[in-house]
Amino acid sequence: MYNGHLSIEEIEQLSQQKGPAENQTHVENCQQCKSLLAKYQIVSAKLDQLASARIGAKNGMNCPEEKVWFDVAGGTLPEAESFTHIQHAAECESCGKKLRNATRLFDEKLSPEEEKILSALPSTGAKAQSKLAERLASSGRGADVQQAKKKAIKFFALPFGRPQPWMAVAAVVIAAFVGFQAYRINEIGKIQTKIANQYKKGRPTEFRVAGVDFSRLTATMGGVERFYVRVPDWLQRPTLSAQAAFLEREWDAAIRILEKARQSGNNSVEVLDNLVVAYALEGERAQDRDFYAKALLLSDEIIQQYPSDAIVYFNRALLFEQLGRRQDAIVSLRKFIEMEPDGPSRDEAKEKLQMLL
Amino acid sequence: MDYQVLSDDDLVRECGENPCLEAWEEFIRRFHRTIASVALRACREWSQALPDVVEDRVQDALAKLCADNYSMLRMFHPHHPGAFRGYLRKITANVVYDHFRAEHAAKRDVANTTELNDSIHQLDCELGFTSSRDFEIFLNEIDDLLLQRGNGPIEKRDRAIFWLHYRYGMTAKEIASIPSLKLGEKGVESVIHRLMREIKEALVSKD
Repeated sequence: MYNGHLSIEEIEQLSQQKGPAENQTHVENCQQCKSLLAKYQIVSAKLDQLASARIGAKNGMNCPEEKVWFDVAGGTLPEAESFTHIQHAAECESCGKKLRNATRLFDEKLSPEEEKILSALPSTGAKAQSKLAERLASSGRGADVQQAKKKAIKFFALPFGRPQPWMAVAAVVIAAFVGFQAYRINEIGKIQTKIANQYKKGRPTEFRVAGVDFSRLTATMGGVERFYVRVPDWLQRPTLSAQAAFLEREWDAAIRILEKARQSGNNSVEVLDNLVVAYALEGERAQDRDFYAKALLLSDEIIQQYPSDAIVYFNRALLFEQLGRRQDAIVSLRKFIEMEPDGPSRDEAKEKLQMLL
Repeated sequence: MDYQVLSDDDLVRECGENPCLEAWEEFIRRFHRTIASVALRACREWSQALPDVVEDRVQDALAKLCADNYSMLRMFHPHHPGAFRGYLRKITANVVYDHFRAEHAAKRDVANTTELNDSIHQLDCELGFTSSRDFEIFLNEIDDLLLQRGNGPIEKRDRAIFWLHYRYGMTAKEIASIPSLKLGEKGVESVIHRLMREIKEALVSKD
């Protein structure tokens, strides 16, 4: 109590419906405190709503380069300089958002979905990391060798006064190789976007195709309509080629592509998951249970090799369902739901499970 | 040499100055996850999350570290403990952004940009402010109160924290992750709570 009235702390407690009962009695009988509590509640509501509305400031002037926000979030700038930028961000909508994004980008805690993607990266495996380390350790020595070569070339070129013809040939070969690689990467990017866009419209089969974002099975895509996205062989991207084959409803072509990839040593989870889908769909088309058996066998292999892969459980559930093994389908779906983070993919599995129960 | 017992900074120096398989094996063991997680999130910012794409960006980041005879590693001088991870995150994010910026230079998505006036209009409706002007007055009132607290480094820091939280939705954890603020999550929470309380009190007693 303060001067016979409630203190501001007590008013705050009351606004949160806390504090002793006698304060409540006081406020009911004291006009001044009652009015103060009402004002407090109005101001609190305004501020709370303001917080949930997340309104930005106006864009500031003299904004720093976008890359600065990675420096601020990463702590690579001198303290005073970093602090100046933080103050700017607090008053500039555009930069405030960039700083927020940078801190989110650098957050060490990963969601289960992110963990899943990370564990599927080729460089995550112990063997691959060892090879990678070997390459990185020698890349400096490689640079030294190149420098030494440069010196040697200079030495031998000097007496003749101009570079040798073989150097021009080598330069052309190297330039052609670099150009080809750049072109290849660009082509892969374009095709990936094209395929991803088609899948976004709806996936072509009830099975889950690995390597593309989840989308619902739409009437158009689940029907007979085909989409053609050409993936040239020289791009050497079996997963993309198989995704394109699924869009064309060419299940046997997908089998050929993915089996070839396996034979050449590519046993990535995406290749195996999609091979399960291809065998299952070909089994359905040809009404041949041998294909289903192959798909099931392969899915066992995936579970052994990639225990964190959820897709295989969803596809197994569909396989079991088609084979009339309802109980096994239920177990697989439950496992998928347990592993899959919240999202439409999980919701779809739940719907399916409801139908089976 | 047993590279597993080296500090991050010493390991980085060894990898840059005396590169060998064992040092780089330890480097990859310690830092691959940091690089890969930033690469993944940065790829997602550009709507790309296929493992192949993320993997390529991880390789780009590692190639950047090794370029020019490991100059990025040899140039690194730590300002504070744990500085290398921040440096690594920054390099990775820049590598990914540079890649996609070059790829999508012509495809900037301006459709998703919300103009401030639109946001204010939306807020007017939500909060019952009669006009944008009323809302701006309310914001200015809060900012004046924050400025009245003083002009020292602590007051400036607190004001920045308050607006980063309320304007841009940065959580206490996210704000605390900015190394130059030198505050933990609890510290940031306490600043926000204290300022909010002061503002409420000031607004109530003013009315």
